[in-house]
Amino acid sequence: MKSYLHAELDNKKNLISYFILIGLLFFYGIYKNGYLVYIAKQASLFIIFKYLLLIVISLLINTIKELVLYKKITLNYSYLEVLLVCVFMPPTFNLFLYIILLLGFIFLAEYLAKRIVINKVALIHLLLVIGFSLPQAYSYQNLAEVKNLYAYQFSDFLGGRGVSGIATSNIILLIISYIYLSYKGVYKKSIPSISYLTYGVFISLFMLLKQDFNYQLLLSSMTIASLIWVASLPQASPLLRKGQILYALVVGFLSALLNLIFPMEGVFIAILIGSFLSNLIDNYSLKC
Amino acid sequence: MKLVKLNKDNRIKVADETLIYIDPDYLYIPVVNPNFKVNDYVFKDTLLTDNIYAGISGYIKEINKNYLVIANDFKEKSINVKKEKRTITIETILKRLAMYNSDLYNLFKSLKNTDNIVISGINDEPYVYNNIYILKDNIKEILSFLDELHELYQSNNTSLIIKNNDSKIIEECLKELGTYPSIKLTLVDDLYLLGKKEYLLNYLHIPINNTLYLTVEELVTLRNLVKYGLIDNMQYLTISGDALNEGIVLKVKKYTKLKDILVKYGDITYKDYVLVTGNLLVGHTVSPSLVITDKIKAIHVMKKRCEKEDLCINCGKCLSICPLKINILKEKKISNACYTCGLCSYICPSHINLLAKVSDKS
Repeated sequence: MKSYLHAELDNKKNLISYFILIGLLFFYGIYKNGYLVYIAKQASLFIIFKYLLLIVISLLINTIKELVLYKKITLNYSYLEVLLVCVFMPPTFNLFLYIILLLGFIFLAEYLAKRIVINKVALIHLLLVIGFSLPQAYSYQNLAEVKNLYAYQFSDFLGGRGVSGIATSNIILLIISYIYLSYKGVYKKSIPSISYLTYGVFISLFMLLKQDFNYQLLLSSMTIASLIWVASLPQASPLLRKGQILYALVVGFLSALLNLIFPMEGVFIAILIGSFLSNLIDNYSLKC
Repeated sequence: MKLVKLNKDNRIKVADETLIYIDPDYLYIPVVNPNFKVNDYVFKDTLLTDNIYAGISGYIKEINKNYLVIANDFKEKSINVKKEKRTITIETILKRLAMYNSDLYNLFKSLKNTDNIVISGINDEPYVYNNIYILKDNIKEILSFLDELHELYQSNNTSLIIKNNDSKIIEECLKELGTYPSIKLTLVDDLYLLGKKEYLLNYLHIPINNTLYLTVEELVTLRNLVKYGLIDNMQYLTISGDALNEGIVLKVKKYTKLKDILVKYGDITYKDYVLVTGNLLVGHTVSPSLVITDKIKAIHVMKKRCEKEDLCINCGKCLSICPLKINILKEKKISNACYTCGLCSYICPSHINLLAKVSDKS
């Protein structure tokens, strides 16, 4: 018995559109953290190639992992995951350290994902930033931002000039990518919207309680990007809509709480906790 | 449960007219231990075994462990009484059904009067058009007989159900319905009803209890039997698929071999094809030596595709679409309650054959 009729949903087609969207994000990221920094004479032209190299090396490492573990290469979600890891990297990362750390963490994440439900992107990202912070403090500012060469306005911030991961600074592009992804059948669109709303409500509340309102935290592109791209990854989020809503509420609330302590990484910790809970949430939503 | 509109290929079409294939060289009757010998002469409509009547007249050519093969003499010599119109009563219906059709008899045996009579002109399975063509070919007779049933069973609501995208038959029905004010034409969206009357009735807000539900095919069988005393030895068969130039709806003698039909009518344009029977969502591949019985409503000639299964991405589509909310991938044992409607396999973006997992785990 077999189905000879299929819905339009297709993983490979979805992945290709995801790659195109990530390509757009990278394009802007390379412009902002590469070209503009080069124009500001804070780095050589190599910085542009460094980001391109980052993508190529990440894909290569993932291919090695696929070959070692599964003895075959197929276009699958692991390539999306490794690209997402690149997207969220701090602009001034150490490429050599990145290669060594990613080689280890990618296998570790795969090993853990076979045993528990875990968001591999959030895990690898957190492990990488811990790894980066060991030799010296890391920063999400690029080489020009470190030297305070720019005077940003609110519109610049929305347009992508804020401090963020390599390819996550442009909020407008992120919103466009969310709208596009929402029309893709397998994308769990309720997660980013509900979790960001929850995040917005609680972070505003917490900041008002602290009497220190910072719109950059509310509109943090790192948070928006991770909710759109990482929190909604199908492998580590609940199956049913009811569960997804509950998961989004948990992730949103935890992101608000943790972002107060770790403004850039709080959301990843929240997503990681959320992914641990997703099995439990699934069981609960199935019973309801 | 939210019903689903299936993603159909609009290029798969069928010819407008019903074709008739009444003269196969042989019929292959699935009879075990028959009371006949090779070279016995069999008249048309002779009872061969339970509910199986000879559809042609001719000599028995062969008896093997699977089939009794009758060679057609093309004379159509029948033992049946001549076609004559009979007045119908509840008693005559029961009497005829008890003799000739046990399935319909079980449906009618306790029926005295009913609140609703629902006649479904819907073919739920994709690319199957039998009911629509039966309606098209017999619209006047169907409505007239339905009107008689309406009177006989004192129904409050008698409806003929058609999908709202079957424009041609809607026109035909509207032309005729003026004569039968008691019959209501109900149009429904083109949704997959899982081949279950419960979903259709629920969709129409008609209670299941005290509702007589029949398909157009069953209604025509009933009419032929109780009104004219005719035993159905013909059946409608859709032959469609993307490996055909154009699909057809065929009126064919029961127990004809598929190969004979394909030789005569199968306009196959693609070399590498597979023959699939029934609902394409839960299709079974068959060989050309298949014998057409009344269980087989359609044959799909589909292009062979080598679809590779991807790894499950845990998208949850199979779980959300399942009418019974069965988590096929995680549950170790699947209860027998599974409808095997095929929606899980249909929706899976990784093209995993979840139906096979259903069979393994149940």
